[in-house]
Amino acid sequence: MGRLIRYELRKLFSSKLLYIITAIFTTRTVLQAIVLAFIENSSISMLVNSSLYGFFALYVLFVGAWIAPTFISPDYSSGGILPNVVSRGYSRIQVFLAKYISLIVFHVFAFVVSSAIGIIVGLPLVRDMSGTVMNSMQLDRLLKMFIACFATLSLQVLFSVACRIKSAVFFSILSTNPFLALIVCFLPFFSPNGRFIPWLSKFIMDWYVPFAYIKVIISNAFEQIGAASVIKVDFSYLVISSIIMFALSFGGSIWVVSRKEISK
Amino acid sequence: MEAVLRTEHLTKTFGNKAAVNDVSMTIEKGDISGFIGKNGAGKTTLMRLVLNLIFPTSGTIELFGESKLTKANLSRTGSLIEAPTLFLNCSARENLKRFAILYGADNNDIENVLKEVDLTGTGNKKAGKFSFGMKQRLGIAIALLGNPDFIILDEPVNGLDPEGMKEIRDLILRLNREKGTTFLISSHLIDELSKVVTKYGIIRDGVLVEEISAENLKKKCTHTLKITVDNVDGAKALLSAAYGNDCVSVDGGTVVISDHNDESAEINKKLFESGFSVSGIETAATDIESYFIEMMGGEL
Repeated sequence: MGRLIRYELRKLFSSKLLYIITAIFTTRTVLQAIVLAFIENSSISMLVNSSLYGFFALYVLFVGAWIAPTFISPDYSSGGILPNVVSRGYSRIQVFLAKYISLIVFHVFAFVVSSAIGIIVGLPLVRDMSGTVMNSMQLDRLLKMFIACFATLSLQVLFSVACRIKSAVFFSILSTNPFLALIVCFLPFFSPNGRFIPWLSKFIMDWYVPFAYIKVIISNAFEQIGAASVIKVDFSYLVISSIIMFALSFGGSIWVVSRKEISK
Repeated sequence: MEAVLRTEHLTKTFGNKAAVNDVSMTIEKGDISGFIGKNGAGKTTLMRLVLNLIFPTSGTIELFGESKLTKANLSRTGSLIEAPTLFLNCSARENLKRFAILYGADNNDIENVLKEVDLTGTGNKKAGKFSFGMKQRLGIAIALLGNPDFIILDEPVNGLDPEGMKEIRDLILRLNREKGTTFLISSHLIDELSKVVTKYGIIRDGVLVEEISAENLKKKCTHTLKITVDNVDGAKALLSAAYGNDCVSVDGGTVVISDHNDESAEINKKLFESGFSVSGIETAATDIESYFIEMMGGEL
């Protein structure tokens, strides 16, 4: 297993994509840090929160859906490198776990580098250096975001192992599409009678993690601009729904890979 | 002799079609076993089964004496199945470095296999820009990495020029001779295969129709002279006395003599000087290719 992880990490850190995506994340946090220089009451708390949360926003909105399919799907598609690994005795589940772990390393790397650079650049620019960096509520929310991000990633991984690359990218984007989430979120306004659809909409937004996750990001953005009352976010389901989605996606991926025949 | 690979009633079906049907075979240590069959006969499927890439519908596979395919026995097996699977955006050396992590090989091994397949001079050139033959060589290098005891090669000389084919052939023979490496090779190039294998397996429609040693095959594929002569029995007696009973026979109105095709002029002279009237001499040969084509019931 150790060799497999080393092999995957060597592949990962030789990939230009890792550095391109990290650069995109970093550019965003740096720009946001620069914006803080023009905000009169910018604080250290705003800097840290925007740097950390920004990762999740950009991840879901633009980048995340591409990462898992790009790194995992080609190996499971025709002509992939998998025969050279499985034929030397590594089990399909071990191979999958090594890929999963390397994908997490990828995300942690991009998160840590982009957040750290954003904070370092922003420190001289913020006006108010006093006060709490992050209160307990923000920390709690950040942890929940991590869990939700993890569940979303697992869903994308499931598509990546089950589909060829193009289909994997398509389903991955579709599953975490923020515009689709917004439509679901605002379905009550299009309901002819205003009764059934609000319930369905709320159910989906609470229990389907990628959409719940988008709701959290939107609410966080509103909070940042002092309009927290516009979207009320109920966080009570987020952890449990994330755990359920992670279990289903992860279990589904294991089920798929352990039965996968490499015929081409 | 220790069996490296043994299959018992191995079957693999895709839908209603049996790609491999009830195959029982044994490859012993030190064998260079060649698989021959038409396209779609089941050669590659059988190799994939042995390498755990696909799962058998029924039957058993025993590798290095173990009845299950495990890390322990598969790690002693190198392979190249169909087209080589490579990191196309990496150099040959980087490809090998990545696989070396998995196969437990070191830098010396990498340099050795690069030398073996004559890819040391490729530098930073990406594998994606290699010719088909170079990719094939790199695929073979990956199969050799980690010094496996058993190597499975599916069409290994595909895309190679005659010189490249000879190099690979020499490499196979050398590894077999010096390290005792066992090989299972499939190829359409029967002539090429016949220069290295010690044993053949003929596959038709998923069924292993015959396993035959190279030695026995050679005996079956004799070259003969068919001599039309006025006194068949007299000529048979004369030639038997000269060349031995085993290689002379009568077939209808002709005398058949095996393995002396290059002596046709001398035989003719001998018969003429003994008063026989020879009205025709024709050479006939059952070569290896004809034999296989016959066994497979059609063209390759």
